[in-house]
Amino acid sequence: MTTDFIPSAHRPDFDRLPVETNMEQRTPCVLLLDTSGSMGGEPIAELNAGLQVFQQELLQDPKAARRVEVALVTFGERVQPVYGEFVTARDFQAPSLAASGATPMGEALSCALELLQRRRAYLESQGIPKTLPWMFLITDGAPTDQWQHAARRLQQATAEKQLSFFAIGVQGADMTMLAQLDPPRPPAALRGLQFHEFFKWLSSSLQGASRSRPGTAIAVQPIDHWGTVNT
Amino acid sequence: MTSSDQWRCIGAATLGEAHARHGVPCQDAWAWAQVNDALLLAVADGAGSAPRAEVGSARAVDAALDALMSIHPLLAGNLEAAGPDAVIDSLRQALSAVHGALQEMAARENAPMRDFATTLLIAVVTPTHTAAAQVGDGAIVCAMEDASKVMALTRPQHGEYVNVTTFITASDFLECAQFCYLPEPARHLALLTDGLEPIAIGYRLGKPCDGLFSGLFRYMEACEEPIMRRSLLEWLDSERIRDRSDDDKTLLLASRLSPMREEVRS
Repeated sequence: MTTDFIPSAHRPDFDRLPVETNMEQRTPCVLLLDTSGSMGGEPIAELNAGLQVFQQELLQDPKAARRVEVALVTFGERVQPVYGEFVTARDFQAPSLAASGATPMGEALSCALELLQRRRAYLESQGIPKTLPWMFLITDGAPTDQWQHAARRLQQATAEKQLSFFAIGVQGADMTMLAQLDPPRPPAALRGLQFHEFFKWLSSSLQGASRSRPGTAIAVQPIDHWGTVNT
Repeated sequence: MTSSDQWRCIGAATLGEAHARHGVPCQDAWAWAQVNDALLLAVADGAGSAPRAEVGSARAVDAALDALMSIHPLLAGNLEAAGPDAVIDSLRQALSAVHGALQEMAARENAPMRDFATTLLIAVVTPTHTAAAQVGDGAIVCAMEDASKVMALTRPQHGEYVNVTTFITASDFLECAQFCYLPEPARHLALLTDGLEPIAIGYRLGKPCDGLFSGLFRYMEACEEPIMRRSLLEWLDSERIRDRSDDDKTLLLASRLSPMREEVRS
């Protein structure tokens, strides 16, 4: 693209200069949510309320709303990516999840890894820059399917810096098993049903990540009152 | 280009929104010098994660100019004989000198070198050539006599993720460096830090925005310096630009005021 204009000798008009209209940089985040039967009642209600908070918090920050993109994969009755693919925070509609069925965590992990793989390939093909994707798994139980193979894929992906993985156990979760998913990072235990606090913390961390500049190490914010980590 | 050739150099650095919010100073630095026949330019972008990045970037551009001046005889000498390899080798020496200067400073201050982490972009124009080197992100763009023919000397250099780049302070800085040599003198140059990448570089192809740079180069030719200087700062700080990039933004523009004439050269 070229411009053919003769600038005035006295008043350069910078607003006439064309600029690139690049796609915004992206901060992908995958949430793997346990919707098995044991999450029924208060836990799933709190989780749904937390997702509402998540949506509102991100919407309040125009930059994060444009840059953060979210994919939800639920695992219970079946494994399901809630929106099919990633949606930007601006278009994110908190779902109303229902709890039933078993805990097919292995299948959910594989599904999430594939979603992320596709997204990374797409962003790369478009030259859209991104920050390191984050994946959060939240469960109150233990897998009812084969998870070891998915865990190996996950470990390889985190070792290759394709993503950062965080496991969060709600009361009743098998913390010993969660610790084996991606051993470098121990799982966090949710305090009570502090989903509200967790999602506030997550949106705040994502806002930070969505603004990160080259050379900045992006890390989630220190875990606050929503949970604890036993190292 | 003769020794009487005049260069106009205008630099502007603005503090990004993200830095202002966190009370972090602008960590970009720029400097230039005209020494006999050569124009020397340097821009550095201190890493946001480094506690003393603004000290590192300031030291880096000073050390870069010092280094380029000391190897200037080679840079301005008989390049037809020396060839591109010799020029690139001198740029390599300059980068090493900057790395050494930062190493000394870190030792003096008893701090790890990564505390001063910064990128570095340098460019040299002599009567016979244009050469550039870069470690880290940002870009160097130039045009010859025709301001509309914009070309990239170096390109943004980050890994898969926007938050990963390389620094002149890193031990592998030479392996990560980009070099470029053209056997003709540029008429216009622009050195920019990564804060300007979202508006200045098309991500898809990694190419500079032709219309933007040719416009800037034409303003450099046509507009008076104080007005240009003020307008450039205002533009960098304008809503339109800030909305697209909340990082520190630095742009150093250099234009030779008189066109090249063969009869003047000899």
